[in-house]
Amino acid sequence: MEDIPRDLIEQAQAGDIGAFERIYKAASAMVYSVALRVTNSRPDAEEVTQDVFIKIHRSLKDFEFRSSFKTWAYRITVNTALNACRKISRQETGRQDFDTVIDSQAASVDTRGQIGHAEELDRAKAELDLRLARLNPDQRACIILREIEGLKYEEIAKALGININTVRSRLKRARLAMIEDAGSRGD
Amino acid sequence: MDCKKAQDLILTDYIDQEASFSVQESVRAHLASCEKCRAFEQEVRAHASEDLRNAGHIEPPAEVWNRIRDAIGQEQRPSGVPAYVDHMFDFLRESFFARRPAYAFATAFTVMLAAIAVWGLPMRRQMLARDYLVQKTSFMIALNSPANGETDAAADFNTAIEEYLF
Repeated sequence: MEDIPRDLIEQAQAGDIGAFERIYKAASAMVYSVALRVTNSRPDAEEVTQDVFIKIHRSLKDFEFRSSFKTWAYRITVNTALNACRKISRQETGRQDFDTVIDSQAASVDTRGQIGHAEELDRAKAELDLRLARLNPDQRACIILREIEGLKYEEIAKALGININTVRSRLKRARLAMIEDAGSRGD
Repeated sequence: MDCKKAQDLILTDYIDQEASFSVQESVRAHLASCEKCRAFEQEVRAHASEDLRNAGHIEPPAEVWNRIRDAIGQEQRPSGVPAYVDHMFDFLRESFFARRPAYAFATAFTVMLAAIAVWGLPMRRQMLARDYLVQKTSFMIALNSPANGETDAAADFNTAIEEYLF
């Protein structure tokens, strides 16, 4: 995602809804994609996208350009998506153990009709989403920000509000899990 | 550099180009001489790194913007309620529903303490007033009681204090 020009943000801060719509057009694909891959559900991703932009609009007047808009938007997006993901896990699985949660999330790729429709994503992309779904949400958020969004470790740490060594540790575990998963599928 | 250290770096800083130049060179030197680690590097790139980079972005459905615009319009509608009240309700709602049990507990505890403070103080005052009246009544009854050694005839306000009181 390209960073948003300062003058456009200032126009939106002044209450220009047209300027805010241009910000939405520039950032919505990033927000929706991250939300979709973290929550693994289209309706949840739509709700997260809606919540993220409402939060951005509410807080825009307090944005003081101390960090980049991009980092700020990633932070709101990932936190909102992770919160939604935890809520889904609690609602859907009750007291099931973690393995069952991951299995149900992975299964949901095909059975809930959210991601994985042939008309929307090809098989390779659906498989990728399935593999991401097997990671825990924190690891998934880290690997999405690093590999799909191309963020540096420092940017990921800021976006997630964690230590840079925690970023390393989550990426390492995520990658080991993905290699193991590929091995078990015989790739 | 041993294989464990090299593989740790391959999984993180080396593959993500976050390591310093000298560390990158050390890993490269190790890879040049270690077939096992070269195979590991290829495996990481194939299944946990480069295969993700082409995933791309997906545009949200058009109706998402319509819903956001409507929600913003509703928020901007003059409601007569000050903004800080809305923010307070947002904070409380997020505290209870944002999957943060520690915050939810702390908020619930604070609300409970506030409720006790608001409702408890008038009740305490009422109890003090009731105790005072009971004591006064008991005292008055005791003054007129025959058990005090007084008879009806004796209740003729013979003492100065009785004359003052009755």
